[in-house]
Amino acid sequence: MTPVWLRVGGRPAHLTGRYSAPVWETLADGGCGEASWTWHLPPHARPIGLGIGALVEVFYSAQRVYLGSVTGIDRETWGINAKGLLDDAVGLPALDSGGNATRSVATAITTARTSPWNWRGRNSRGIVGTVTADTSEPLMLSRLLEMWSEQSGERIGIDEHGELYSRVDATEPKWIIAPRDAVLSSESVETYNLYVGRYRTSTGNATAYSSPWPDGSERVSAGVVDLTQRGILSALDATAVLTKILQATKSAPTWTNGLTLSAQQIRTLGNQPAPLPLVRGGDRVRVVGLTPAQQQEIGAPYLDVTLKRVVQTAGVPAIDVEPVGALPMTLEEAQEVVA
Amino acid sequence: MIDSLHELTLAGVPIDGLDAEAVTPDGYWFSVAADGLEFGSSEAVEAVVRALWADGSEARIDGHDNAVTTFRLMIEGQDHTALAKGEAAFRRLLPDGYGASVDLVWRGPDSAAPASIRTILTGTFSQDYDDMSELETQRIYEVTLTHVPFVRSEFESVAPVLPAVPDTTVETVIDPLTSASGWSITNTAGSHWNRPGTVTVSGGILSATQSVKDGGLAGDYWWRLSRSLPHSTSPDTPYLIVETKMLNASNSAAPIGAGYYPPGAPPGFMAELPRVKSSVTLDGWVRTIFRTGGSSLPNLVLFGRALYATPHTAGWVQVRSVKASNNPGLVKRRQSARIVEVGGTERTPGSLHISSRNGTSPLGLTIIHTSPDGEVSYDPDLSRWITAGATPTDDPAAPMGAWREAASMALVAEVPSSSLPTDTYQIGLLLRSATTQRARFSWTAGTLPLSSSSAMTGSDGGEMWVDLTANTSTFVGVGSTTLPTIIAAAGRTRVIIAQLSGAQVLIGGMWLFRAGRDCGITAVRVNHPHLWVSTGDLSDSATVLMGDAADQSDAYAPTSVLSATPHVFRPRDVSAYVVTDQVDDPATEFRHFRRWPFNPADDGRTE
Repeated sequence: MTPVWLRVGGRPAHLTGRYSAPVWETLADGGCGEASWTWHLPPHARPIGLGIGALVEVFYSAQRVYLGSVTGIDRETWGINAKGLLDDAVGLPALDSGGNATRSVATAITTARTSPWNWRGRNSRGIVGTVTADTSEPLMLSRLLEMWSEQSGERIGIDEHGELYSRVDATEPKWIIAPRDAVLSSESVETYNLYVGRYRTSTGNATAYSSPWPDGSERVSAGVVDLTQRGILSALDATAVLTKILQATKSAPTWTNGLTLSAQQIRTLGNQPAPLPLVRGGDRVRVVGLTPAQQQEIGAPYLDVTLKRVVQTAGVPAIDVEPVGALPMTLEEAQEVVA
Repeated sequence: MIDSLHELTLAGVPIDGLDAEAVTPDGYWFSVAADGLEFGSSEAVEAVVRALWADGSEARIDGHDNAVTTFRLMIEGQDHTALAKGEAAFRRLLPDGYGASVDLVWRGPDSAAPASIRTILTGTFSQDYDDMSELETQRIYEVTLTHVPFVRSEFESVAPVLPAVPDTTVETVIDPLTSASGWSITNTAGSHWNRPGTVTVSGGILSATQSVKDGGLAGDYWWRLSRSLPHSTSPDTPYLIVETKMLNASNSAAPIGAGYYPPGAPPGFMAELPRVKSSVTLDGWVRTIFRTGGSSLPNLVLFGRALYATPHTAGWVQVRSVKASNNPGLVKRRQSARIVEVGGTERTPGSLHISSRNGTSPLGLTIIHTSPDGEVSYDPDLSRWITAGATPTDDPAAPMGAWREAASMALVAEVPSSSLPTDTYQIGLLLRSATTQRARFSWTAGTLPLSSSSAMTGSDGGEMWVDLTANTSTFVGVGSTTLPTIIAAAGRTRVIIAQLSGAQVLIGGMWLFRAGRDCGITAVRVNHPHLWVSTGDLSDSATVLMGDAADQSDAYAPTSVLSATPHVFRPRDVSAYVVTDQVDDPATEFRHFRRWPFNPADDGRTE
């Protein structure tokens, strides 16, 4: 028996009724993702404290490992769905205290936490940043945070404490995995190795390029991107956006499939079995145990990746993980995500 | 009528046996055919992981699932209406999973043997129509009952409240360890393997060694160190305290047991003394406390497991203290640590009752931790292992005896890695602040692999926010990781807590709670003198109640629950650790039903 338990609306969930093992996911981008469980209740029950927006906390013993809010209640089957607090921010405008649109992350969060928005996310880490874009129309808070992430190149999300984080991937791995079935692929969808974009400045249009420039041994194959609909940008920001598109679409050998790992297959750096509930999206892992062919493709005996997504089920001694950069995207997909 | 030597009862109604054969007022009676009675067995839930580089798969049983018992029920009656009434009466005994479960009790031909009890969750039955049986006023039904895994003993086993810790500790030395006379050592490896054992005394320490003949003896076996002289422990000093150390480096913190050879018993038969507590002292010895009941003992036997490391291993165990005491080893007053013996063969849900000794003082913030015991002498309390931190402000009300400021200086504790069985641990803190605030903490855990190491290796860490209300203590699980962080034969595990932001926070308790398989923590604010935590058969959490009356007549569930995980007791021993921040030496009582595969070996009431 594993000491995982659920708290909904501040009440331990078992006070309402027996519930199935909760499933929760943590993401590198976004922090806490989706969670779900089923309560064993008769169809006409009225559980106390359960409503859309009720706070959902998954605890591992006395430590919280997931924080979100209820987004869906099926009152026939009592299947409950929850999403992380970043999802609540989809409907919150990014405003300053005077009610005007703001592009400052810190100001927008401070206002979102006040009445009537009452967002439960916090910014105790004091992350500051201003998104450079046209300020005429208000953005939604979640969109503002996404754009900040693109602009800064950092991963942003709300962690299990409800706190905003903005960070780059760790360079040192936290876990070591030796999966049997890692599939490596170096498929490339696009053949572009350079992106050229037109963007708006205060004095007219200008051109930016993705970085780094293809080296002399490659033929330059350029894709064209229209950035003017993003409003007024600085040269630095336009370059950053194009670079992100390049990274999302270029070919690089990487581990491409989602895996299910048992505690024996994911270990700490000290070669102890990893405590599964503490493996999170955003953790950096080192994949070892590659075949010689895979090692040659990568150019190293191991592969360091960041986990994009980790899905856990309470009591199951295995977790599902997906790496960042699972599959290169098409240019259209990349534009949708990045621009 | 068929005379039955067995007895089967469902939901309190006899369906086979002498009582069942009596004709009920409605004119029917039940019996169960021996042919077709199948007690189901609980399916093991096995996790199989295929090896990467070798042949074979790793297999682990993570638990067991429900079992299905089937039998053929015969209803006989004075007429056919009576048969239908019997059918209806039986139908009403079958649970549907929504209401309470019922018990199926089986007693065999030996009325002195314990009964087997299965907890039935759902039941169905179908009629097996036979026209000849109808003519004989008999109907036969196939009954299928789904029940919780394993059988349980009839009566609840209770680990009773221990006597209150005395204000002054009285200790009498049983053996001053100045002479080896009366002491001898044997082991279970067998006479073929053994060389004579030797017991020597030097500087107040008794060393018992016995080497084994070369021959590739594999596996582990047990050593016994006996003292053939009688000694007395009076009812005033009912605890036996022994400090030992194993000379084999791989299990230097291994737990030991104690017992005695009762006079007149068959040779080699040893009666065990129950263990109350075992922990590792600051200088690496194991201090074990046993309950003797206060009566004199004719002799004393210490025993333990010896891992056969190399041929000709010379050296088993050292003893430096054998005393009788009135104190079960409580060091800090707001805590209680004891070992609960769990009978049976299968793990079972546990219930506990914590109360203040005077029956009226509220317990305060109560933390209860249970974990399987027996591999090493694990003790969650880190306070006696603190090596650096802010100057403590003594206060007997703090679980660790003092408060330390967290923002002024990082709090560092180093505990011998040998006292931590490899598992996931959670760092628990009891915190208090003069202002209402949200403070940020960081935690780090790492290994110092050698006694001379000063730098940590293999560290893990993280951060945590805590919401504090002014002048109200709270308990948080700050971070969790696998400990020891690296595999190391010796050395220490270092834990560092630092406050990163916020107004001054005081730390009053620091623990390493084992949080892996079959471990549980409950943390609740209790403003009453009684707290009950009970785990039902299939509960995913424990039911927590508190109240003023000892009989639960005014009990209610608290809403401020900081942690609520079920408490599962795995045989043979469970380490139970309780902290109450407003009451000294809380009275703790533990209950469980012993669970067995198919037939209980005792009814739950025997020691």
